[in-house]
Amino acid sequence: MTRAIALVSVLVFVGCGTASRYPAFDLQYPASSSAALAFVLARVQTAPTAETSAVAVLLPTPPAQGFTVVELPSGRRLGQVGAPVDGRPVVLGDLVLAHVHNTVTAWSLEGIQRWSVPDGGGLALDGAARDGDRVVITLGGMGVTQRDGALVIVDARTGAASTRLRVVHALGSPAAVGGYAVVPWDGQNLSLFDLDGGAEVARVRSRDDVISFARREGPALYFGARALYRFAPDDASGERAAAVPYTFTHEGIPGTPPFSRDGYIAARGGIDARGRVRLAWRPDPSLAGAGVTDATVYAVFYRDVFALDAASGAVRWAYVHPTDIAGVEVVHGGLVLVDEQGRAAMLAAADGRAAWRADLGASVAQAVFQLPLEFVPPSNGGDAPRGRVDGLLDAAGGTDTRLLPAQIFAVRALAAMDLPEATRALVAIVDHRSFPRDLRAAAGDALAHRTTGADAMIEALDTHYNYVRQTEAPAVGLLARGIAAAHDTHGVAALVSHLDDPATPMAELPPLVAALRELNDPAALPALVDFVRFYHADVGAVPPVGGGDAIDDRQGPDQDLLSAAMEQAVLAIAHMGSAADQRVLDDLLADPNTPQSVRVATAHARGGHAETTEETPDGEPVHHDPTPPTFHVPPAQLSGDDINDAFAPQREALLACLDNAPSRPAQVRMEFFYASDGTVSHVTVIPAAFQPCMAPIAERVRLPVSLVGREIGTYNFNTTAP
Amino acid sequence: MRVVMLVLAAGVALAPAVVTAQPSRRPAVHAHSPAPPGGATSTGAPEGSIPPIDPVNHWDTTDSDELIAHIQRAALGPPGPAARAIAGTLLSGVTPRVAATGLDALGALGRVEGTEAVLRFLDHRRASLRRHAVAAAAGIHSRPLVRALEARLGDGDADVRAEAAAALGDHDVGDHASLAPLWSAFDRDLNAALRPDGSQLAHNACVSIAKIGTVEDIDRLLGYLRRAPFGTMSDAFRAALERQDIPEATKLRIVQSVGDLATIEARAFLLTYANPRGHAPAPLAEAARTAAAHIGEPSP
Repeated sequence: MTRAIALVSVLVFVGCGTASRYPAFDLQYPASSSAALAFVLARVQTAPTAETSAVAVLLPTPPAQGFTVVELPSGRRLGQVGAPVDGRPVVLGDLVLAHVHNTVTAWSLEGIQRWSVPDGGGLALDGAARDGDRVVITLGGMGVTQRDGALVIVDARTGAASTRLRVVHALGSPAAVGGYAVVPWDGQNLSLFDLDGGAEVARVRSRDDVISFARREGPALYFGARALYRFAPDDASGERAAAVPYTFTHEGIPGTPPFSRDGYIAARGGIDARGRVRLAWRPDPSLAGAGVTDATVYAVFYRDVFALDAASGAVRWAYVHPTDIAGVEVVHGGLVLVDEQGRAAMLAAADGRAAWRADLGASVAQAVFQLPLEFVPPSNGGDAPRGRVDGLLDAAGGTDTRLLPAQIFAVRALAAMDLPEATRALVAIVDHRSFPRDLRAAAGDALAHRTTGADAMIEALDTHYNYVRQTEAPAVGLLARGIAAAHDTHGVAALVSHLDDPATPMAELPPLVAALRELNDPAALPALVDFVRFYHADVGAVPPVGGGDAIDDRQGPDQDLLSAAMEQAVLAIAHMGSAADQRVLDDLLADPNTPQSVRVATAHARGGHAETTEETPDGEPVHHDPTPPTFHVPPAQLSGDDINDAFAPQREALLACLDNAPSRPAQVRMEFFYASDGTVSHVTVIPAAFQPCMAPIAERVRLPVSLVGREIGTYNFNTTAP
Repeated sequence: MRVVMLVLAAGVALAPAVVTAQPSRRPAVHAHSPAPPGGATSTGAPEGSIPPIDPVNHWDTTDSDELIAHIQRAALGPPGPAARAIAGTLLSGVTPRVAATGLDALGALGRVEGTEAVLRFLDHRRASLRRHAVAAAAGIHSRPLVRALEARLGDGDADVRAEAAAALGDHDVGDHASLAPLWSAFDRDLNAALRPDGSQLAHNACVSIAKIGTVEDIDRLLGYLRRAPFGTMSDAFRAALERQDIPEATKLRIVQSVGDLATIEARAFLLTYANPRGHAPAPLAEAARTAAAHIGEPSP
């Protein structure tokens, strides 16, 4: 009886009181109570779900126009439209809606135009939803800051408008369920309008989050932007903590896609990067709260798909498609995709295998789906099982330069796997000289932290350069770092073999010798002693065979690298060597042909000071303070993370450069040279307006020491988020 | 080279010493140059009892000019002790100028005592010194050095590998085991060379095969007549035709195969070979003239 009275009072509140006192979208409209939201929820949960066809709407590659509707999984063409659609269509049961010219037009799945409504003058289609025979359309499309929108409710059969509201608000992507139009607006509001009269009957106002979309999934209503909320009475507080949304905030996802498409920005109709670099997920109404289907979030990056654990963000599998993916939709048990050549597939959520494939026979710029959550195509994929490591290795490989962020993401995922196979995969990446240097450096950095799988690194060192055999030298320096990190002395012989191999690039020698030093294995001593003895005086020109002027065939940086390697060797000999070995160091000190830096290191190692030939301008001898031995081998070059970390302390100073700027870019790009000692120079700032302020700050940054001679670095300063 | 000439002028014997040593300073972890196809290694098998060379500077100076003078003077003395002194000094670490001089001297001395030092310099990081070492290895041509020369066919420097290929064809340097790596180098470079006249490695390997190969190798070379640049093939065939140990029947096949090409270059080759002032046996010279006649005069 008590519940009945309460329900009646809520009915009065929702159906009459508030609606009659405030016009729609009125800023004075109060946030609805839990009871009011409970009433709405009850209607949502009991609202009938219409049977819909499984279809894909395929937008052709420009300059072709229009779209094709294809039935899935059969691939049968249902209809085709040639109209110059200028936005992403929306499929609503047996209708396809799209913005064309100054209208929003509806076609049947067979391509027959049903009706058309004006867009209100320059407004784009934000989104549309359908509840029975009513269609809710929101217009605007210029972003949440452009407060100009329209809400239109029309008859699905005739297009006759029952509600048409032009408002000074930004409207997001709507839902329609239980007789309500559910409309996000101005970033923080979610209003529910009576589909029959257009009156606002309830409102959720977020105090600490953003709302840009509403979405119905079976008996549940969801909304959110950076998080997924399941509509519930707890939303009345407007506080995120009370509502317990699902969030996916893991960093490093390739392309840094947002959690959801911005419902305030109209989606384009042609090739749209936002559709090709995105997170794909679908609410799972069978869960008690907010959550996603199969507990999986899919990260799509052009051709790559990574299935990520919805809670931890860990990579479950990786899949590389032959061509760019034009559209995806999540269903129970997997991800359905269509690529730009019109090939469809469904990747199993469990392992990424293609359980179903079909050729839709069209060139596709973008694909939009209407698929029931329980869509199950016939199994015809036939893909062999592939392990997670294999998939990640595929994703890390290739020569498509656009995919570098995904490749590095795959490398990091491999690095997170404490498996020998993962180490082997990282070794394969490091050794693949045609792969981008950043990628190989990332894999090398990962190897330097491995504790398992050193065998793979040692095996990789079995290969030497040979012109006749057409074998390339492995990435000795990176592998050496990994072996040293794993402290596997079984690698000493292999490392020594590359120390003596003239095909080992000079840049690889310092990390190689440093690794031998770190391994601290006396078995390396004879090689190290021989190395410093043999090369300590190797400075200067060589007369060619057969006579002629002597030529110095060693470039400046190469001599520095050789000296750096000898310095490391000297330290190792001083630490491990016998008295006879120490005498070799004394011979080095006594030989004036020994490079100064090696003499200094030797003197330091022997506990004395090197005689110097360098003088100050005043004629005083220069004494070098040798760098104390470090047990970290400098990287061959710096990674993006190294640069980001080094710039981080300057963030506030850089942000101050944006004060009073006429426009505040989301990102400022800085390109510069950096040297092996980490100094930054020749900074170019884009946009150039910030050059005078930011360049001096960037030049104060000191990057980590590396083995580069002089390298170009890039720092993308994100002005919106740290 | 000037040192070599000096040494030659001083009457240093160039005859190869009997190979009796297999140096190995660091057997536990010593680097092995990658073996070329055919399985040869840079170090080869032990051959004798020459004691290892101590990596010690035998002259009490590190001054390059003084060391060069010492090396030149030593090369005029007893060759065995000279080679040991030079080799030890080179292994102790010297400037590149001294190393080049020392290697040239070791090559001219041709003593097996120089093997260890030359082996080390065949793996030197400077390609210029590896080239000096290749020349020295050809001069000494102990078995380990021949194996090391074969390994240098896979060197990263084009000049080093080309000179190693040429050295293996020198008198008494390459042996039967050298043929497989030479063939591999020839095939590899034939496929890789972009120049119409081929590459120096392919040329030198081909000529060396012709110089040291068997009758079967010569017959196999004939199969390359339309695939390899004619300049390379003609130099190789010229070398084969000059060999005393190749039967006339094989030489006749060379003449006929070249004649079958029916090109201006083939005709010139045959006529040069048939030149009465040459050393071609009469039947072969006649066959060459006949084959050239079938090709006919080139158009003006």
